[in-house]
Amino acid sequence: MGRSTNTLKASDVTVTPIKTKYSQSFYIGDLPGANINYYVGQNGSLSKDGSYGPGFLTYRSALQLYYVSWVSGSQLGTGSSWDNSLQSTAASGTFDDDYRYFPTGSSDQIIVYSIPREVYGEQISRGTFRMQSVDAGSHYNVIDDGNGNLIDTVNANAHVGNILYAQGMVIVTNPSYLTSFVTSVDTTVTFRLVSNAFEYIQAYAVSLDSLSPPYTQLITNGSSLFPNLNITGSTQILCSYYGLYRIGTVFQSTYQPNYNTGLYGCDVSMSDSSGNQSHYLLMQGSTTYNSSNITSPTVAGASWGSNATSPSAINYTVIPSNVPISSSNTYLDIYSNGITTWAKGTISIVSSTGTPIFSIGYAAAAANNHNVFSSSYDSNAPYKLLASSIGGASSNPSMSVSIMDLSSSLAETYVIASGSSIILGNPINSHGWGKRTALPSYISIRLNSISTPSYADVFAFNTSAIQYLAYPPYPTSINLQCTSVNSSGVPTTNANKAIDFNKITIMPYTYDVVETMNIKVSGVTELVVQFQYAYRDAPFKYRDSAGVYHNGNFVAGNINF
Amino acid sequence: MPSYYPYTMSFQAESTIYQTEVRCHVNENDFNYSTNPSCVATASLGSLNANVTGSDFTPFATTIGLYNAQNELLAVGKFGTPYPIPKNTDVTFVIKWDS
Repeated sequence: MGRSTNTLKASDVTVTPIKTKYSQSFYIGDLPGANINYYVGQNGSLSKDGSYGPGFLTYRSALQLYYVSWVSGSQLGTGSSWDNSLQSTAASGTFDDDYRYFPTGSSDQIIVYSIPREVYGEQISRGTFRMQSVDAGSHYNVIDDGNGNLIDTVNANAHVGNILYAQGMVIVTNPSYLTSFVTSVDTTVTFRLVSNAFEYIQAYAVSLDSLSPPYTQLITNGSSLFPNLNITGSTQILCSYYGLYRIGTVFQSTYQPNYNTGLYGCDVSMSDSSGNQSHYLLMQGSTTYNSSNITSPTVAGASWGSNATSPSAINYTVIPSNVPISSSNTYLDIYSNGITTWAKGTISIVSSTGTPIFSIGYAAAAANNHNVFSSSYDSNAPYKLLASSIGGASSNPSMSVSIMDLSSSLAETYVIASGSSIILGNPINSHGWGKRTALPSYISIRLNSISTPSYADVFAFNTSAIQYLAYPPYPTSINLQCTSVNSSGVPTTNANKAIDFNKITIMPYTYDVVETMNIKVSGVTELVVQFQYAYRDAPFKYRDSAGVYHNGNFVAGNINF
Repeated sequence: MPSYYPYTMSFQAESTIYQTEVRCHVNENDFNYSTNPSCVATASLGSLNANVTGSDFTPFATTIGLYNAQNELLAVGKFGTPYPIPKNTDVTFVIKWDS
């Protein structure tokens, strides 16, 4: 490649400075991510040992750097060379004056926002600063006037504080605005939840400005985040694995109380004495049994205790007992989001014709439209599924199924129509319960009242599932219970005898070996069901009390392990 | 006075950038020679191919390099398309960059 040269003269080169402006906008929750920090300063004094209260240094620093010349009795800042960082060259008292006010009362507070240079460049452009409430500025709309003053245009042009353009400092000195942007120092809010029937508690933490994405902090007693959070009166409050997340303008987290004890008498208080930020925690609850048990979460009310500083608003949602689970209702979704995919068990119930009736679990919760008042997953708690009250009016035959966890002595039941089948989903496999520390102590399926019995009502178990339950050290038993049977060992509604099916004795399961489940009443075999591997569409046999064998078939589609 | 309410903080940041402009003059009849290997005849050293010795031949500029006094390359500007150097007319190339 050829090259020819020529020599440049000085007049051939010019350098032109160009001032550029670029917009910056941050939601309050995004300020920490941009390294825009705020500090609450509070007037105080040094003790004899040199210690000082929260916010003391912030208050004194702002005073000394920017306000000392305007505070009566100040000793510094009076020299001619003292730089007050005036933002306006107008004479004092004129319309364009940089007005400086600084509160000096005991324990008076200020707020100082510190914006890093990497965000504002050489300076914040005059006349462009705005702090606006997210309701389109209905609460406040604070702008700068180009001379270093912060003015709230929706509240009689109140002087809010000062802005120092080149320093990237925004200082709120108007006492009336201290709680407009952040909650005050040492805010303490105490709640009392009075119902013992809470199925879940939702806690809203407002002004959690110090939280950083992804908002998954676990709020517990004495955590570093909330050092003065105290939870008393209940065994525990579990923060869901899902953690905090933002809905609209608040941060929300879902808490699940102890399933068995509820949150009766649970006092929750939280305070932040660090002086850097403060928070308050709003809690709300709902009961699944009786809406009258719900106490309206008025913070200052007697039922909810008292608080030092009333929050401006409380988000309150009651989930009624008959709330339909639909695509627009994702409560179950919230509950189960903390569960990894493999652990998201389902219980599905299909009719005798294979039509899905009801399914509970992460994937299916939004799909069914039956009434479910409770379904809870908690990755930190013993596994448990709760569901109740579907189908099965009192006039219809019904049966129920319960799934228990080791730590619970209570049973929750499904009630479904006769002739239906129950499908126990993936919890009964090595990827579900088999990997959890809390295995179900037993599975109980109970036939409550089958008025039109048929042998299709006999449940089919996946023997491989039984195998998992059988291996030690896990306790093993499968209980099949009927409230009554007829003379042939078939469940009916007439008799008043209980049948204990707890007689599955061939363990562990071995492939290609026919398994036999003997169903007995008072030690006499009434019904024998033989299982064969790959039983789907395979025949099974049952034997009545007279010893006569009958052939049957498991219906394909009703068994789906 | 207004109670607590979430907000957005917005402002315009200011920064100064510097735009340097260098004017590179090419006088008429300058830069009319090319040492591109495709122009050089292979038969005799230093001679040009016949197709580049005619009066209509004009070299095309593709790149302008800026060098310091030590002949060290400081900056390179490339044309979007090769530009023919006019024979009988001065031409000025203006190079700009921001810093």
